Amino acid sequence: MSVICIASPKGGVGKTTMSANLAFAIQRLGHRVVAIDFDNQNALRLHFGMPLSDSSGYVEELDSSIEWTRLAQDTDSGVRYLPYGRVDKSRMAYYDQWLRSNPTLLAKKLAPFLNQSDTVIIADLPPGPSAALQALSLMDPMIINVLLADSASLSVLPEIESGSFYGEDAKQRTYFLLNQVDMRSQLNRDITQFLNGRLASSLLGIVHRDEAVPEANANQMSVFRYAQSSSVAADIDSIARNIHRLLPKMHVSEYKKYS
Amino acid sequence: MDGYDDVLQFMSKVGDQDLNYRSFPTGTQCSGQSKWHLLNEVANYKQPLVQPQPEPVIALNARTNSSAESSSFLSNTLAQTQSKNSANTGFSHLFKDQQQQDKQTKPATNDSLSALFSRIGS
Repeated sequence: MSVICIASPKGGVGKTTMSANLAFAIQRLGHRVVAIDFDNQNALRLHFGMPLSDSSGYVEELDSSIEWTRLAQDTDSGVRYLPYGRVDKSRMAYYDQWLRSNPTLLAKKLAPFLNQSDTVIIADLPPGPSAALQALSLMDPMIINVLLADSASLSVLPEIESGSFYGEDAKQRTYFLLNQVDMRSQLNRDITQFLNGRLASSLLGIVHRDEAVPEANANQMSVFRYAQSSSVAADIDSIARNIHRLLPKMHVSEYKKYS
Repeated sequence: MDGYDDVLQFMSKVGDQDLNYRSFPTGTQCSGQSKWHLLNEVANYKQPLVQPQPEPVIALNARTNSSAESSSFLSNTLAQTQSKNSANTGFSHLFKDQQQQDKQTKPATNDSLSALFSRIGS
């Protein structure tokens, strides 16, 4: 299970920010990480320092014979990322149709990344159900739901738990993280306590609300580089360690590459 | 809930060697009452009951009415029904505590509408 979907039925919960920072955190634990943007907002690239004016991405190269491994961009940290690219609406619709008409094509495109045993793909998904989520589901991914400690996230919980959102088969691969928790808010505290009991081990951790996150985003860098000693960096690192334990075990030689 | 210490809660998870969804502690009390209406509603939420589809009725052939065959058919059907029911339980263990409380406090009922009305009424 080396594909991690960062998903949520709700939008605006911080999926893209979490995708990028978890990519950095998991890479720091010794994995080879590729972050792929499946959201047509094309925002993941900004977290990796890609200029706003750069419109390149893999969606416009769907029909070309270029391997996606060659389209992936490198960063100083070692994390690689594959931007969605700036495309018009007809191209977005074409991509959705491409995914829906033959979902196995996506697995074929991603296979060269996964041929290396220690590679972890982090998929930043659009909110709600999507063609990308449907196609990735064939690869038995780990699904991490990003929730906020608010009524909107709370209200979708029964839908996720029932299996109607990700499917019955995905229940055992579904995990949660709670984002932007402000312990000064009684509602946040109450919902956090409730979810901690309700979700138990599937709640991988909580990320406290911290101004370091939007500031790091504005500087197009990870919180680990922008505010290494911040509590939010510790939160994300702790979640990454929990994910690390769920990933396939790496061999000693693979660890050594990064030492 | 004011005494909740999230840092301590998650410190214990760092040492949790078995972060497996299937290893949920079933004894965790996660229902209870809060001043937030929606929180109470989700905490006490019951998934809509799925009515099991009746098994197709197969008329026993008069020529193959040996008791051994018919009892084998019935036991197979029963086993299938039981396995389906157990597969459908899913998250039901998360509601175990609340369900047990409900059983103790009010008569068992399958009418979800009446249960909803009684919640709204309370």
